[in-house]
Amino acid sequence: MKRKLQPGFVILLAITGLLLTGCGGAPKAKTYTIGVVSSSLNQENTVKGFKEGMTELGYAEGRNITYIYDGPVSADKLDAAAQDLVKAKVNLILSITTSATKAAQKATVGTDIAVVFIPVTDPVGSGVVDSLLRPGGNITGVTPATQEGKRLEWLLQVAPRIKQIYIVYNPKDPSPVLALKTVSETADKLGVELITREVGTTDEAEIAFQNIPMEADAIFFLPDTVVSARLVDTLKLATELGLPTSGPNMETVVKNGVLTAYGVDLAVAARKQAARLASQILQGTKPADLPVETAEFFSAINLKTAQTIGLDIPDAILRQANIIIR
Amino acid sequence: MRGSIRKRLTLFSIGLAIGPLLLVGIILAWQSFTTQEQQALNLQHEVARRISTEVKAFLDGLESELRIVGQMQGLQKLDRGRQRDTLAELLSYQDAFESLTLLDGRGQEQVHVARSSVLPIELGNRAKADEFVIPQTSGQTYYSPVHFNETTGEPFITIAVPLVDVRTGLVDGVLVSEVRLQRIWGSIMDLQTGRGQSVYIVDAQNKVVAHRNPSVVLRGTTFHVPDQDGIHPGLTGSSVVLAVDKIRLGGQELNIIAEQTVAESLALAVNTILITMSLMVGALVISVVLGLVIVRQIVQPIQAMATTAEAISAGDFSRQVQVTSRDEVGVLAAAFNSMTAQLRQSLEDLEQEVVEVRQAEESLRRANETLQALIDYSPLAIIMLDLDSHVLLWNNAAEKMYGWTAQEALGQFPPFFTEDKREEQRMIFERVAKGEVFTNLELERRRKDDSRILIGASIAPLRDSTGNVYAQVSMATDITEQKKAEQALRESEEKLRQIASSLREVIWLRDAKTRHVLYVNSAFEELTGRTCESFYEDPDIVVNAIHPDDKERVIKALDQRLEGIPYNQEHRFIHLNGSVRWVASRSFPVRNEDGEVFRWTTIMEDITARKLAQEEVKRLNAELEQRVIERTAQLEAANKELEAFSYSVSHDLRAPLRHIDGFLELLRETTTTTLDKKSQRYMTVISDSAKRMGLLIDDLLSFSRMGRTEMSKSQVDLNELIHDVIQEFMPEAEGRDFDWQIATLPLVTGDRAMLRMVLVNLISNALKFTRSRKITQIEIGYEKENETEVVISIRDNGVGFDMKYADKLFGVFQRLHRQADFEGTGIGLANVRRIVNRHGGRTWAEGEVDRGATFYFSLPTSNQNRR
Repeated sequence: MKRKLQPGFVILLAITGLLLTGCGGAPKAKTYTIGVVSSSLNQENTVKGFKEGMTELGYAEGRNITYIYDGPVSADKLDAAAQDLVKAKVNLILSITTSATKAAQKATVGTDIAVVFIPVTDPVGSGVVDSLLRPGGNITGVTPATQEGKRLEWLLQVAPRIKQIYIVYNPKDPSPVLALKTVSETADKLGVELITREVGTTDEAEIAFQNIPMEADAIFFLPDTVVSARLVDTLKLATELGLPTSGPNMETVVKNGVLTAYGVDLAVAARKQAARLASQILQGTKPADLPVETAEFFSAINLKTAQTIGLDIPDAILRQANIIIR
Repeated sequence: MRGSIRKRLTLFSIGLAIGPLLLVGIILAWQSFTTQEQQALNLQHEVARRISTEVKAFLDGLESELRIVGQMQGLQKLDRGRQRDTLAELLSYQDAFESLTLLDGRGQEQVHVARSSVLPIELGNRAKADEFVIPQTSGQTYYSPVHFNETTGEPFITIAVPLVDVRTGLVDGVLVSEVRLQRIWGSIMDLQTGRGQSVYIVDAQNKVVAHRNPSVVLRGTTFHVPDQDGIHPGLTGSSVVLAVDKIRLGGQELNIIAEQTVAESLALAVNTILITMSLMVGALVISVVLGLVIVRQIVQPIQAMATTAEAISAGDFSRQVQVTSRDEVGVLAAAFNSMTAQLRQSLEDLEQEVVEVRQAEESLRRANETLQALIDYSPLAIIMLDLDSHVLLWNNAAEKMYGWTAQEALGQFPPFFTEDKREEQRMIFERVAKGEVFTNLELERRRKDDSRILIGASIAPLRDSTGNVYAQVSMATDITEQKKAEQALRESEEKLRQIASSLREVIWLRDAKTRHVLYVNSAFEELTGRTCESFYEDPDIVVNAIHPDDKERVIKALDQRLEGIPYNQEHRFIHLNGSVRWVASRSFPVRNEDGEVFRWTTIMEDITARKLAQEEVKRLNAELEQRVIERTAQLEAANKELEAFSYSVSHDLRAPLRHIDGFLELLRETTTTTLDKKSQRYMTVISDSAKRMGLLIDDLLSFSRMGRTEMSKSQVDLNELIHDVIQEFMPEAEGRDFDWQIATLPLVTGDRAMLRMVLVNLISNALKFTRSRKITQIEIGYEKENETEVVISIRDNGVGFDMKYADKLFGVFQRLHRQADFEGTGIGLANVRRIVNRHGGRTWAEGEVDRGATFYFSLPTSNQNRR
């Protein structure tokens, strides 16, 4: 009789225990690895902004997130760099520039590694995503949209006397090619002429900039990895020659002294948008379900540069600028 | 019956505990749940209202900015450039505006500034568009439905404010703005939300236009706003507590929705229910346990007694009722157990007795069986008689031995007694009846076929429990054959004894263990001079008489025979009269059936006469040998002397010969002109003879030397040697045609220089005597005659010789041809023979005149050649 009683008693105790303790436990802290692949020398603030954004979202570097990033690499080494990250079995790749994004996209084929890009000027046109709203595949990110027409208009507002604009670009890089298309259309509308030079290497870019045509009234920098490498030297020369300049992003104005810019602040976009997208992916959302986001854009003027080249800008125009470097 | 009391008692106790608890739990849980739900709903209401206030304020603010710019600045009165700059400034100041368009009183676009697009070249007319018509006609602000950018998915709303001329008070234009609803996402993002809480805005078309996660908006998520607040499926499909607050903008409506998952918002209620349930389960467990314990205390003793009674009735007396309580049930159980124990003890005693009786019966049965088997299968005839001599028992062996069956014999007087032994038998019967026991009796008996047999028997009395003899038993075996065999053996031994005593050799037999002499024949007395009796008495008498010089050897051999080495010795033996006799003694073992030695037989033969004869032969041989040695020494001395003599003669002859030749040469020089031709010819003959004599002496010397030179032996390759010799002769034989056939020759042991001389002589002869042949054929052969020697042959096709001179060929200075035909001194073959002889070999030759000759020599193999 005593033996018959015991099993029943134990089962009842076990049920009671389960009911009392089955109210859930703390989720296990997971650690993640994000690889960064970049081909731009001027995007370190973007990476920094991204990391800040991730920290704000609860991913503390060294605690629950690790970054693999050895700095930007030249275009020919992008594929290898991306493949290295795949081999390292990262959870996600942050790709900076269109070329880097293409390399990351190629390297992650057949894997479940997601890619978040910033910036890709024309994600659809360059074949990175099917559409902004439905990216498809394993990739999404932040695009600055093509504000290149508006940027030309802004340059002309700031320096209305410009008639001919000098543009050096790498025809093999999709970013400047796409941007140039918009710039050309806008130039037609606004009645200015473009003088273009195609280059393949930074050395060629240097030569092209050392031989700025006499008739050029301004220099327009496209988002171009090869050309960006000669940005600082070229700006020095342009300033000496008294030529107005337009840069592809805020940083060129704020940091490098380009006269005007009309575009995105990538550091902010990386912090606010790219980091949020990355976080959602790490938490299990499929990249295909995350529409590509458009970054906020701003108009900027570097007043110091304007003064150096002897350009007088009316107050009405200055008031239209979102960012003024005085 | 079983369980019925228990089941009823158990159910009753559980019901009593659980019923009230269940009732209280349900009421408490329900109340907690409804309260929590209401509180959660209120919270979501509050959140939704806060956001709607913010959104409303934001849009009102935009409207105000548009009105201020339009109205305060008198926008319509400014020139195009100023209008454009003003709008551009507003655009850069307020980033919620995507674009601003100024329309005149007819709906014509005056100025257009946009954030992300370049100025259009041609401005359009919007006279029929709502954003113009509604403000123009009503003087009210116009809000459009939310619309989305097709590419980016971003939501926009159009706000148009009328511009009124201050003088006329009429609407003279409209300021149209495209507003980015994205700017209100920030308000939602900044909102501190609880776990599982979400706030979003849905337009009239059910599209989500604002959410803290922009992706939700951009991908065009839709949500059907429920008519009432409460628990509904939320945006993600899971159950939520949801509250809606609506904003009206002109004719448009936006739904501000705040929701929180049920799990989060009603967590407290759920916890309350869980705790209540846990308490109930706990109470259930406790009540069941307590109930069962009580039931057990009441029911178990009764049940145990019932079970035990059932078991006992089924025959299990070992069962006891396990009740320890001191109540009435306990007393009953103790009495029950005592009764059962007594019953069990009685049963066990009975069983024990039965077992013992059975064991005794079994022992008896086995003893009987054993006895019967012994009687039935015994080789002894077992017979039992009563005191009146009637047969009581007659076993199988008795049937076989006497021929009467048991049936014939039982109850009868034993039929096997012979008439003549009846008295003897009667006496034995009487003595046995008095208790005497007879063993090893040898008695004669009659068989059924009337033949007689001899039996060996033992007879003993049988007594009853009082000690009185009531019968006798006899055990007998037929010993007739055994007795016959003993007789035969005795006779055989006697015969052998007679043979042995007639032999001249001494034969004796000893016991292997005791060494006692079992038998010795009479020849012993003659050989040793001692009596046979003395040998029987002292077995060591023979050993002691062995000659002291041989004793040790013989004793050693005697010991070794024990190890299996046959004993066969010849030794001296001292006769009792002191004379020494030579004897040959042999000893061999006699083995029993197991192969063990149990006797030694020794034969000793007198061999004194043979020994003496052998001694004589040995002495004569020694004498002969001594004589041969002496004679050989004399011969060797004579030979040496002769050799020395011939050497000195030859040597001494050379000096005068040189004088003759020398002085003859001087004479010839001085007389060349004075002497005539004839005299000169004589002088030449003398000179030639002297030279030839010199050669003869040289050869003689070399021959002599050959006999005396020390031999230096080594391994000699005849093959190599013969080629060497032929090579030497080739210059001399130049111009001749040869057909050499040379076999492969062996390695021999010998003096290389001497063997070379043998080959030089033989090949030089062959070349010499074939000089007349057109083609010289020389064949050098080799064959191994036997194990001890090899034979080398040199055959040529030269002039040959007559076989009757074959013996002379190897003699000194023996020549078969004229000096004019074939030069030579006749010493070469003599040298060959001497060298070969010194090597221990032989030489011989075969030939036929003009048909060639063959010379043979043999050499012993390896080290067999002598000096």
